[in-house]
Amino acid sequence: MNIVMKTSTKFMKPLGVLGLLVLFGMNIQAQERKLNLSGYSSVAFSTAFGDAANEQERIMHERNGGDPDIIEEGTDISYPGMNLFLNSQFSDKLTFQSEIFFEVDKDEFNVDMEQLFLKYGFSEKFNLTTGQFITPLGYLSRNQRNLDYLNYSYKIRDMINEEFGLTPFRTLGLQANGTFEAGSMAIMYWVAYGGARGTTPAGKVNETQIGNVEHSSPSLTVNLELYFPMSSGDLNIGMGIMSTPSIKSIYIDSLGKEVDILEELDPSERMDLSETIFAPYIRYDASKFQVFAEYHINTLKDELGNTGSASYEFTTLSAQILYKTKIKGKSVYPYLRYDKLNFANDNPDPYYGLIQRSGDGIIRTHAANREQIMIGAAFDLFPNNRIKLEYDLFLDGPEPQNGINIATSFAF
Amino acid sequence: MAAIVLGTIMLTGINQEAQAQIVVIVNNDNSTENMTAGKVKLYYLRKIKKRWPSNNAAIKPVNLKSGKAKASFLGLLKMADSEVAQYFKQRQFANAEAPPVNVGSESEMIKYVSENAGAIGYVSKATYDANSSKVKAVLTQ
Repeated sequence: MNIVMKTSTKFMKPLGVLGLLVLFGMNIQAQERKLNLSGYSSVAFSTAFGDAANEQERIMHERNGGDPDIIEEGTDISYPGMNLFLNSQFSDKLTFQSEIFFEVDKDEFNVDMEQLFLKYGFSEKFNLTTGQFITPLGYLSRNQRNLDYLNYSYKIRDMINEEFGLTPFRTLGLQANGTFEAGSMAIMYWVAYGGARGTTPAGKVNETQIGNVEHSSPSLTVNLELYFPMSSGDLNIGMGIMSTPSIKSIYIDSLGKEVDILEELDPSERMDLSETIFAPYIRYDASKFQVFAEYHINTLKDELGNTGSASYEFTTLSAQILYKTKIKGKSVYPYLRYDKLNFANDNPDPYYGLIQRSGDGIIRTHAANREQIMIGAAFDLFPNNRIKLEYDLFLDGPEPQNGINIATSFAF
Repeated sequence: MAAIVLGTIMLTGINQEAQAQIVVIVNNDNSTENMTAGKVKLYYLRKIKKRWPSNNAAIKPVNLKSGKAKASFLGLLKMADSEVAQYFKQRQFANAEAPPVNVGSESEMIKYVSENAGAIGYVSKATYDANSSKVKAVLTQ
């Protein structure tokens, strides 16, 4: 579904600057300005034990350059980092927000700009955002993308895991969104256009050019959601579609092979893929329970014919049921969650296993299937603190079968 | 027997506290008329509307830090205090929405709502009756 003209992302920068100037120009005299600093973080204790859920997946993962931490048994205390939000209400209509992620990974400390945007509210039906923002595809990406405070469950979902890159995490460009009332229901929409894909799935959209690989084309994302407020609860039904006509990348013909990105690419090593993602979801939130499910279908088409197959497809599913109760006046949320990630083993995907090493190489790792059940409970001891206890059972994948996680997440 | 009586009295007292009569208030320049409890919840939580239809002013929910009126309002929302806090935090992080304004007393609530065109808050019936000229009632419960 190539509905977007193939253009370079180079025009996105001047477009973004123009958008900023227009929005500032419309609010030369700010009537009210409020600065708000907030954020969230977490600390987690995790242990993984047992045989691999799927020994064949474990062997493929280990043999082809996969992260060894994923498949090892062991216990770990982790502090993933902190998300810091700076929000400024320039006026009743103009908002600035930035989100910075401070990551601590063993001996490394990284700072990553997650979001940086201006948002102008023309009306209920039309708001315009320019800058870098979370790709508005589906429900999870917009609302529960991080494993910390915004989630009841502990484990981050594969479909929105930034390290996997199955769903483009950020878009750099323009977004329009709004709400239309239709009787007793509402129709909400999001339309985003901008750079979202890099040379690798987890690559930054504004990364520097890699080894003569051109920048990918902008992506178009459309998300529609119907909202039914009822006396018994709220029902949200939505559908997101994302199209990227041209993902420029490197074709690596075998698993575990690493390519030096600084070397000139042979024509047979160039890869040009068009990607389409369908993301239907449903969520029902009542006073005593919540039910949620989101399903993604990712389709890639080989536009150059170098990869050996015309198209590739995989699916991901995340479903959860949650109960709301209280113990001694404190909110408790026991839950049951099911996730499944399904690649076609007989037609290995050439893009989603690509990982850029910290040096000058890109390696093609094995993109593993996964299936897991999570049982746990979240406890809201204080208004801005959540403790999570979770048991993970892997039914498929390279990880050990069992995992126990205890985490405390907090917002400020 | 005494324990049963005492327990009943205590529960009744708690029940009375949770059921204290409240008035949901908006700015006098807001032409919104009487609202149902469901509408109040939709507007206060900004679930559909982000702006008042009458004047396009951004909806600004105002929250008491504690008190009987707050307990009654949470009963109207059918949400726990922690749920409301988490809800607004999530909207702030996900949608860049401004957090609710927190005030320490009902007099501060009256003052803020009277001075801000988009504000929506709540006070006890007694407080509203003493300040009825300063703000507009849209729901009494």
